Amino acid sequence: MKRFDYYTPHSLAECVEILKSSKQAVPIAGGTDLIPKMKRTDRQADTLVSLRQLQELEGISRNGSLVIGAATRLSYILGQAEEAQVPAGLIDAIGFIGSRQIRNIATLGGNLCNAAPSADAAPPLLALDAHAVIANPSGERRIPLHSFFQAPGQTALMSGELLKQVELPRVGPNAGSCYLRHTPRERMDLAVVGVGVSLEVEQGAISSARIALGAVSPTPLLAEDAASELIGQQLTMEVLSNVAARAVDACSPIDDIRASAAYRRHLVMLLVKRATAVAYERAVASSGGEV
Amino acid sequence: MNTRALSFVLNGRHLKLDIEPHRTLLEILRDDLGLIGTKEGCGTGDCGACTVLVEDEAICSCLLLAAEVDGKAVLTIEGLAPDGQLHPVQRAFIECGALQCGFCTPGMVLSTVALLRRSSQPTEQEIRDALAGNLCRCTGYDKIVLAVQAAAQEASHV
Repeated sequence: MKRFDYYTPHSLAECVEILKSSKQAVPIAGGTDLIPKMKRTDRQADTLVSLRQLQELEGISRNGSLVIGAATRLSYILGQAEEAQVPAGLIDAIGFIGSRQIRNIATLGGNLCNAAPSADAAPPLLALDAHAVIANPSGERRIPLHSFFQAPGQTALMSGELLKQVELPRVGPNAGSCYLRHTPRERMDLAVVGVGVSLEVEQGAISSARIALGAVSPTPLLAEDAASELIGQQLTMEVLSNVAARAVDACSPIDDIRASAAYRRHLVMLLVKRATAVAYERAVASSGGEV
Repeated sequence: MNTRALSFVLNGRHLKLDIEPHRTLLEILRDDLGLIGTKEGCGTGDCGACTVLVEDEAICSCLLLAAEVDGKAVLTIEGLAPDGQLHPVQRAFIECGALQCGFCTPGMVLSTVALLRRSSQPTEQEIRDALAGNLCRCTGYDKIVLAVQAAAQEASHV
């Protein structure tokens, strides 16, 4: 790698000032996406700003919402899944990312800020109605996660801005979520298609639902028409087929080295049905089977 | 040259170095410290041959800037058998025939050590998940899994 200047700020304020001072200043959390890019010289950075001293960017807390610091390591989130009541769909997704070694240094914020269309954390977070909290020299701003992704590899972060944390609204006991993906290899691969579903069930019928798709459009995508087909419905094969067909309509996959667009549409059909069914079962199970 | 001080514990010993920030931990270990047990297989965090433990957790040293281990404890394969006495995991790998060319082995052994430190009786699936980031082109993995199970079994009798 080429040489760079390197800072380890001790406060978020100091960090955003450094980021603002140079167009080529880049924050580094885990670095599992950034370092390979810099080795390939895909990414030029004359200044790296390490986030490792910024405790306010790490950890999981609850204040009504579930708040996950952007620099929280993936393995930490997995380890806290039960205690912090992290939704199952997000845990599914994080478990798919890389390997143990990668998850021990990679962060949730890094997966989002890398903004690959196939980012595994994106579909479940979109389905869970997450918001991104962004720090900048003037303070903070908060946007819905679907506004965060703007193009492949591009986020809404402006110069001097840093993703601070992700916030998830509280989920009730009758809620369930799931993330499924397809990869050619069992592990250590990029999603060819990813599907995140979150829903709530009352008296056997779905009272709210969100479906999000990854790797089938330039950015991770909310399939709103598909999700609306679930509202008020019991889960039957017919309902699932209908919802899946709507999801296929919403996506715009491409042919690439991993899969053809046609195969991706087929996978969307399959995985939307399966993920919805799993999310439904989880919702019923978590409410004590009474709905 | 723009260097910074790096102070960390390596295989139980405190070390202070002056390093340029663009150097990875793998480069420092192999090129500066002569610890060539840690291998570079891909340089991109995909193969796990460069696995070392930082604070008891397996990481890919080819992806980690050396500066990021400041204040932390690092264990390389050399640190497992400091006085020549093989670690039980190393013995299990040999006894089970879990290595051929040996290139993936330091990384496999350290990933195994990290696994057994956090989960003393892992299931086969847990073993395969824990080793998913360590690629082997020789063995087909089955004997590696057996070695991990043997090491776990032996440890349970201690």
